[in-house]
Amino acid sequence: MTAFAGLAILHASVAAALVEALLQVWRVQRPAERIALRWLALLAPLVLTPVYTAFAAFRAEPPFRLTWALFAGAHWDVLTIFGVPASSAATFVLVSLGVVLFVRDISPRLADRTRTDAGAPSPLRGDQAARLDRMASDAAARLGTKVPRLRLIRRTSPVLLCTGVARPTIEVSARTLDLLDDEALQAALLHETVHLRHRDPLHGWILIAVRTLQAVNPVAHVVARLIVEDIEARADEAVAGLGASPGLARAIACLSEPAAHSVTDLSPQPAWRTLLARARDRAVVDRCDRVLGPTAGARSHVAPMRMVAASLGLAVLLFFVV
Amino acid sequence: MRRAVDPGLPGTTIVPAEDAGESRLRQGARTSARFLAVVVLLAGTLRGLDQLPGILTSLPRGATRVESLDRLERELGFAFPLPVDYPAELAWPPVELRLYPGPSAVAIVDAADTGSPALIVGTAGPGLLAVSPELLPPVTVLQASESAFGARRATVARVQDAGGALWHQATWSAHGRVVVVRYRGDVARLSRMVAGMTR
Repeated sequence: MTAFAGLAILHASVAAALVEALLQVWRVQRPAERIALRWLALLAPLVLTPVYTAFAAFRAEPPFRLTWALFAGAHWDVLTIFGVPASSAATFVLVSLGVVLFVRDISPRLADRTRTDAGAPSPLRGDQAARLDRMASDAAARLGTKVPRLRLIRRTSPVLLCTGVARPTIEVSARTLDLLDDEALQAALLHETVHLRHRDPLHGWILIAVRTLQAVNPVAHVVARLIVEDIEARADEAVAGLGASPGLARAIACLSEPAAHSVTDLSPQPAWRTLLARARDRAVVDRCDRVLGPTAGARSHVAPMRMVAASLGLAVLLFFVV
Repeated sequence: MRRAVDPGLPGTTIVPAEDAGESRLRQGARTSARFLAVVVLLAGTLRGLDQLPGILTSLPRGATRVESLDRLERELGFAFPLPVDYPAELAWPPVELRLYPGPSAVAIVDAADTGSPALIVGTAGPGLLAVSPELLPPVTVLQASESAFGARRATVARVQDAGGALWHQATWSAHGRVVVVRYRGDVARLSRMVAGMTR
């Protein structure tokens, strides 16, 4: 079992390295194509590793390992760490990291599902409700889709997200409506409606299912997070294509709570928290820059060819990694 | 990459240069060339990483060091041949025991006084025609002849290693297993060792 987990992590690393390198050299800008290619990297260890292990067991035997294999984890066992073979030690460390990443990413989502105030909708009322209703109708009309179901949730923090697989819903907290002007709210609702049009809540649950099947694989979690970023970029791009990017950038900036030290908070913070906060702030700035920048353009003629080449490349390379 | 229109304004579009005015054939060729370059580079990197442990431990790729004769025999699945008539000038235990998949194994024994290798014993599993060349240091055969040791016949040779040192080497097969004894000393001493081992 340890050997299989180690091989799956190794395959995930090679798959991720290949796909990320291809994204760079092919200069793939369109989020939709980036999502598709990264899904290949995410699925490779889930599909190819068990298939190769079950139907090509000879790959682990010395004749293949010594003659044909490009990389064999077993060859690293000549090195030991505190008496433990290097491949086993690396597997133990990476599996632990995988579990930490999985729990860190999944627990907030589960907490959201079980939080009582999140599940109890408030009836839409007053001028805020009318404004939200009007904006959502406008957004749906611009995208040519039906008006999504809206739900006002009881939260003191700004919340604006889409949820629901069978009954797609946009959830909004009152704080969001206070923070956003009409242009920003319109753009933010467009963004969420694009998510619903692409069935991204379902996409999110499929990602969670695939991550759960690879819970101990840290590389799978990193790739899945990159896919989530691409999903956001795809919705951002659609909104920018409608000419609403300034409003969207403002909405992103307003709804992202300042994570770094504010000028009024001078209490000492651990260095790692400051670094994390700076990284989050940097990510918000980068995303706003991307939203305000040029979009990636139409689908490339060679996109299907790239998918086939990447799939073949993964299948061949991983066969020779044992 | 080049921008199609108004590079500074939101909502403008980046058009990859290869999409702008290039034939599909050229785009396909460019895509394929870059793909192949990445695959070759990644394969080379993986192969390099695969060689790294061997470089760090001075062992051939796939070979492992074994800490005891008991462990070596467990891994081999049969008794490792050692001279019964063991020369007094050799140190004990062997300074290094190496195993190679197949399996093949060698024991390297130092001279007690100089601390340099003076005896190398190697064996290979049933069905193998020779001890893996990955384990035995390369030598040049200067002279070889057939000799009888009791009921067995062995090839006795004078060989020279890469450093120019002369060794005597005996090679024979017993119970379907190849045995090689390489001794850095006179041929008579080697013959006494081999006679004891083939009895």
